[in-house]
Amino acid sequence: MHRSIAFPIQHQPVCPPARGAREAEETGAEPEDPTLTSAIADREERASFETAMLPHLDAAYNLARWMTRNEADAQDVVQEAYLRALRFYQGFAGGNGRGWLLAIVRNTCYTWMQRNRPLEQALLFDENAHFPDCVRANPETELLRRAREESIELCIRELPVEFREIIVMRELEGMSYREIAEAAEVPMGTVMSRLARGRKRLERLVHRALGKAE
Amino acid sequence: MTCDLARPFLEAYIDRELDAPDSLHIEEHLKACNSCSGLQERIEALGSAIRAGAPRYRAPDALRKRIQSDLRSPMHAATLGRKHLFDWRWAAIAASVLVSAIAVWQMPLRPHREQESLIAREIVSSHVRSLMTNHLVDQPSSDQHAVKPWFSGKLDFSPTVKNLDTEGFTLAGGRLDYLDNRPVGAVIYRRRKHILNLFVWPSSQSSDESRHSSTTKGFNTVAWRTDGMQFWAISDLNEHELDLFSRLISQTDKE
Ligand SMILES: [Zn+2]
Repeated sequence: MHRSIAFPIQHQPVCPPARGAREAEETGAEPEDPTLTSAIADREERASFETAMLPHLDAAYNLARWMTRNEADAQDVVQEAYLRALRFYQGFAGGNGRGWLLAIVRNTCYTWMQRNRPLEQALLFDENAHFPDCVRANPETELLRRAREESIELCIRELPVEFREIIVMRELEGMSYREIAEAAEVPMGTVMSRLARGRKRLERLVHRALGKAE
Repeated sequence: MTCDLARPFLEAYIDRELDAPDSLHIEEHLKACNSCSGLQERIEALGSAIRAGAPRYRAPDALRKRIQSDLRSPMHAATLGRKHLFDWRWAAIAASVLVSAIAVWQMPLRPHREQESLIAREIVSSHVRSLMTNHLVDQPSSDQHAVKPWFSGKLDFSPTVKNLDTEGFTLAGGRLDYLDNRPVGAVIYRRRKHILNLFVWPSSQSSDESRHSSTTKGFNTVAWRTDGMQFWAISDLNEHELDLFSRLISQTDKE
């Protein structure tokens, strides 16, 4: 009866083929004016990038918005991340692309946070540092429900960022463990343990918030 | 199946990450076990509360338009860092400085195609972790005579630590890290507001390897090997500046 579960998921390293090079070989076109050829290649590359990556704009923005917790900052980070992604597009191995793009968004977020909020970031890791009065007691059930909904948003905002990002990718983006692993650049096992720990912490925060409210 | 066996896979089950036979095993256990099914209920309730109560933010139309116009503008061909977010004024100054730097150094600037070797992934993760946890340095110091001895008590080799202040790279300190299945030295430098991690460890290969740049997940890296030591520099600095840094490190080494 002791059947141990062979966990079926494994982190698959992405081995991107050199896209640009391969495509250039395949076209086998006559060598023309090199600047013209590269301008066309450039335009095609951009068009391909836009088709592949723009559909993930909401996912990119949602992640950045939760990570920076600020609308204007999220916009700046995402705009910057798209430019970076365009530069690194040759390293994209194909496929869905959301995990690949979010890895860049996430790295851009961390770079940005390190630069703009080093102190706040340190505080983030002390969940006891402060807890806002998320909710006020209200006898109306509908209002209480609203309050609870608002409180969960505030509670997620209070989560340390390394848990917050995983919770957002899993619960709000509906990403698979594999996709999250690609975006967060960690092994699948780390995704699972962070998700489990993040959920526990979040549950505690929610109970504390509701305890205050009721 | 016991609780001990089931628990580690409970969340993977809830998240629909298990294959059918494994799901079935967990399901059977959940039917028989109140404690685990109670936990399942709580985790599922939390999930629905999140989806009901926390917004999935949608990108504003203005942002979409800005990005579209960025992508279609030839100005942005392979440029980076001139956005307001990342010190565009400095980028402009750096660019003008770099024109002369390029002339002097004649840098081979074309980064190799992105190669996500295992070690490159580890380097990126380490770098991001150091940004993320505010655990940038174990031994904060801008004095190489303080950082170098600090390493010597902790590693069986001596990482290169240089004072490159006059070249614009300020030593920020040292940190122990773990890469390629071994402890390595991480020397941290700052340039303007950019953070640079230099990882150093004894290589298993004895032959030297000249510096080669690559990009991984939005970061630039330079790797090289001299005198049996492996070096990896990583930063969000542009490749010119990172290349300059790697030259300075490997050059002053030979003094
Ligand atoms: Zn059980």
